[in-house]
Parts: sequence; structure tokens; C-alpha cells
Amino acid sequence: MDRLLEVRDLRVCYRKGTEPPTHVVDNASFDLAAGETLGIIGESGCGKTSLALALLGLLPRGGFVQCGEVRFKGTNLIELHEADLQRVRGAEISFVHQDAGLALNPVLRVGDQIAEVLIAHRRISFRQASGEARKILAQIGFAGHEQIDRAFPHQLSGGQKQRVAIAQAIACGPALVIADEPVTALDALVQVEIITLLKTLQQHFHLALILITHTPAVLVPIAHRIMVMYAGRIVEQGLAPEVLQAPLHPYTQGLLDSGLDLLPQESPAGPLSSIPGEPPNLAALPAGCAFAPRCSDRMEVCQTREPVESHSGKSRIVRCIKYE
Amino acid sequence: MQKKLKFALLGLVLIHLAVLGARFFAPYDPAEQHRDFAFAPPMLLHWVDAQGHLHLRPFVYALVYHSESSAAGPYEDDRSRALPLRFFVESTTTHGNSQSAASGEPQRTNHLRLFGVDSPGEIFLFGTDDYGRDQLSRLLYGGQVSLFAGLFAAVLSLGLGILLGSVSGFYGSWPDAVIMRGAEIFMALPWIYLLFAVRAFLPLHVGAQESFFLLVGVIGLTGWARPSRLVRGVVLSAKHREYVLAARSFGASNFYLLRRHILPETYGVVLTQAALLIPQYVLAEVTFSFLGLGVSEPAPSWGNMLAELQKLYVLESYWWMFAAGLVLVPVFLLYHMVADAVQQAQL
Repeated sequence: MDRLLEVRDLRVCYRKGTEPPTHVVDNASFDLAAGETLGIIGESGCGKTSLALALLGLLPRGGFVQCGEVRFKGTNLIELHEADLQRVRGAEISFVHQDAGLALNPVLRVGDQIAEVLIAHRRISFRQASGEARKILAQIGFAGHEQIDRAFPHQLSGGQKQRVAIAQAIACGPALVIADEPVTALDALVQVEIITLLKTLQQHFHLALILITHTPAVLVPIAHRIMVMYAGRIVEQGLAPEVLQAPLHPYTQGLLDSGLDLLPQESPAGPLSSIPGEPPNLAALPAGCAFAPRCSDRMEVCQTREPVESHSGKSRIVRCIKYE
Repeated sequence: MQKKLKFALLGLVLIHLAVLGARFFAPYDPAEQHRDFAFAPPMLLHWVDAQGHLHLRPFVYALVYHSESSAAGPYEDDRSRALPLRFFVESTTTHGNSQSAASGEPQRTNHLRLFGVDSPGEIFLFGTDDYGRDQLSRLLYGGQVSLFAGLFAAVLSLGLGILLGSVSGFYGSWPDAVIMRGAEIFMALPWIYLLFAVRAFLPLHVGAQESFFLLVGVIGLTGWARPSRLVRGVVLSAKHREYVLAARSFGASNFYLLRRHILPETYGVVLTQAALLIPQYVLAEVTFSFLGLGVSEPAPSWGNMLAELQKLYVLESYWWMFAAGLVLVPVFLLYHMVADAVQQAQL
């Protein structure tokens, strides 16, 4: 399998005033092959979105990549200039944002907004681009809607808006699509629709997909591999069935236990469990393992020493002292 | 579009068209002097003559000079000489003094005018000034200077304001700091003294055209501060919108983001500012010419027409000399109506 994306020791920091920078993503390393889906799960504020934004150099003001590399088709994206990055964004790697209702300009027609992505990357006229946009819309499930490209975002439902946002993302035929919580704002039925759509598109275009979510259930039908993040660190990664069925890290276990009907045949009846406490303040991480204060399998050593990655099996990596 | 906005825009368009078409609408050349009729009062249009007959074509009575000491003023109507109004008259204009051709052969031009009376009669619907120049004609020609100076100056300062405000809001950091401190300096300066100072640098006698562009430049270049701050505020909030980030993640350049997603959000503010700034700048031109620093005689502007009122006897005796001040009222009202309507439309 050829590697499309290689992330090595990525550290993302936010600087606020004169305070020392906060590490929101630390020591992140992972690979992605063409046509592969990687699910990233974790609670809010554990660095999933920052990691995704850092890959494309889209961090907001104050955010920067302190070290590490992001190799996409062999080029280190971290070292690229803004103008070169602009050629990569949308054309090679594109992004589906959290809330499609906000990610579409409310005063522009959706067809035009898709056409613009095409115009930004190809030498085509607005007319051609509009035609192309119509075709893409038909392809992603708007076949029955003739005039959908003339609609404004407010005339569409949440699921339709998310489809339009996905259409924007795939318009230029990218190799990698990063979807940041693409279904969080949608109801359960539409979630299934969107995930099914992503899966179809992925198979059709041989897309690599990074799917960020905090509901592990959405990953079940689509993810090949899963990466679990906690407090800016990747605590576990491995093949999806392995991680979902036999989680190693106590955090992953807690996260999966608190999910609804993940794997219906195995889910025990009884009250849902939850992980006590809340994610730590990234600016003041506790000594030792960041998860230790909330961990049910806490040991003495967890509070003094940071765990390191340990490999188990072919592609299973876990960052927990228990498995060292 | 709201009724109010339509009405106000229609009014403004009509006023500007009238002013632009001064050559056609004005009965006289603005500099044409009628020395026999200095400070002639406005003539009334009559439909019914002294014998009680109704005329379909309105007429004015010829003026005769009576005596300086009369209570009703020095002029009175000659009831025996009715001058019917003629429309679409071909008129010959003699530039300069029509009384004496001492300064060589006066230049003559022929062109069509909306109305006039048969010579040797004269028609002064808004009266005349101390040189016997027709006030109506001077108002129309003067509007070309006053109204368009305001308009051009507003375009200039808004253009600068949008440019600097969007750079400031979009890029932030040091350009923002430099531009905004600059804007604060401009806002702290009392602009009228600033204008005096700038004017003081320049030669005392400049032609009408040069002084027009000078005024536009000076007013426009000093007025960018407030619009730029407003634009900066809108840009600042617009650039953090999710769809701007989304467009960036599809490979949009900064220029594209500004043009397509951010600047359109400032249009409302810019339009409102335009409708407020134009009358303000018209007033600035009027103030300037009133003080003798703007467009100078014999070219008319509403400001230098009002300057006559600096003489006490004019102020006391010749009320029609306020005409240039009175026309400012509807212009201001209409512009403010536009501003009001635009702002309402945004809410």
C-alpha cells in the first residue's frame, strides 16, 4: 500500500500574548494510504480539529506548527509557502467543515459556490464550472432536484447543505478529504445518509478520508483504521474492528462504553457508563499521563511518568503504561 | 425597494440632472450681467393679466427701475408690458458684460434653452445679484460645482476608506496599527483648519476648474478616517465567519476572500456612509467657497453665491440671495432619507 499522507512527530501550539505556547497536539505520527479511511475520535478539545487544520496550514491566528512534518505525496506541506498551499487546498486535499450551515455563504447560490472551487483550481469559464457543479450535485444525490444549484443555502435542509459542502470538497477530485465532524449537527437518519454518501464517494473516487468525530458509532460502517486522541496526544491507533471490539487504552474503553449501540449484538443491557471528570486544561497538563486523574486502571507510576508508544500486533499502537 | 428610498433617489436624480443640464435649463449664462437690473427681485409668473383675461401661456411683467427710496424697493412691474414665456428658445449668449464691449468683441454662442422671453425683455424667476446676474442660472451652474464636488469627494474618501479599512481589518498586526493610528490623527484634527492649512500652501489665485479638483482632493483625502474604521469593523467580524475559513480551505487566495466573501458585507455600511458623507462634503465645499477659499468668481458655486450675504445690506434687504442656502435643504433631506432607508433595509 502506498502512503499518501505521512505525519511525523507533529506538534501544534497556540500562543496567547507572552505566555508560553500551549501544546494542543503533541507527538502526533500516523500514516494514511490512498483510498483508506481514518477515523479520529476523542472528546471536544482534545486537539482533533487543530490537528486537521494544521495539516493544511489553516490554523487560526496564534496557532503554529512547532515541529514535525506532514508529507503529502512526498512533499512536506509544513514547509510550503502560502501560495503553493493554496494550490493544494481544495485540489489535492479538501476539507468538509463541521457545520455546513455556516460553511456556506448565505448570500451566494450553492451552484456558484461549488463552481468557484473549480474556477480556483482549473482554467475554466464560469459557464463550464456551473455545468460541472450541476453534474456533481446530481452525482451526490440531488438527481431529482433540477434547480438545486440555483438555491440559496437557507432554502436547503441541514442534510442537503452538508451534501453541498461535500460537493465542494470533491469538486476538484482531491486525493484526500478531511471531514471535521461532518454529521455532528445532523439528526440520526441524515447522519446515516451522509456517512453512506461519503463511503460511496470514497469507493467511487478512491478517496482517502480522515473522519473526525466524537461519536464512535458513525465510524463503524466506514472506518478502516481508528485513532483515539486525548489531551493532544494519540493514545491508541489500529485497525477499526480491533480498536472497536477490543480497545486497549482505558480511555478508549471508557469512550466506547459510553457510546450507544455501537455493535448492537454485543452491547450489554443496563445503564450507560461515562468517564468521570473532564479533559484537562491543555495549558496545565498534570505530570505523568494526562489521562491518569480520570483513569480507572490508574497506577502509582502513571502520575509521575509519561507513557510512551508501545506496538502490539501489526499496526496497533497504544500509549499507556499498562502495555509497556 | 422601499417607497421612501425610491422617492429620495428619484428626487436626487432629478436635481442632479437639472444641474447637469444647466446649459439647457438655465435661461442665462451664469456670468451674464444685466447692470440695469442689480438686485432685481424674483419675478412672478402670471396667468391672469391686468384686464382680468386668462392666458394659457404664463407671462411676467417687465421690470422698470423706479426709485431707490421707494418702500416697495427700487423696481416695479410695468403692467403694460407682459412678456409671455417662450419655450425651447434659441438664445444668443454674450459672455461677460452685455453692457459694454470695452474688453474687445464679446464671445457669442447660440444654443437651445428650455425657456426665455422675447428680447428686449428679461426674466429673473429667482431674482438677480448685485451684478444683475440671474440667480436661477447661477444656482443651476453652481450646483455643478457644489453637488459634484461633494459626490466626487465622497467617492474618493470612501474608496480610500474601503481600501485602508479592509487592509487594516483583514491583515491586522502592524498594517492595522499604522492605519488606525493614522485614522485617529485625521479624526482628531479639526478638519476645517486642516483644509485652511492645505489651502494656504497653494497659490492664491487658481482657476475654477483647478480649485474644483483641489477641493475634491482635499476634502476627499481628509475624510477617509471614519469610513475606514467602519469598514475595518465589518471586515474584522466577517473574516472570522465559517464560510471564509471554508473558502480558504478550498484554496481561495486572500484577495479572492476579500472580494467575494468579505467586502460584500461592507456594502450596507458603505452605502449609508456615502449617503451621509455626500451632503456633508457638499456643505464643506459651500463653507469653503463662502469663505472665499473655494471656487472663485465669476464661476458660480452655492458657497460663493452665499458669500454675498456677508454684506449686511444684502442680508437685510435682498431675501432672494438666500436661494443657494435654501436649495441645500431639499438636497440634504433627500440624502438623509436615502441613508435612513438604506440603514432600515439592512435591519
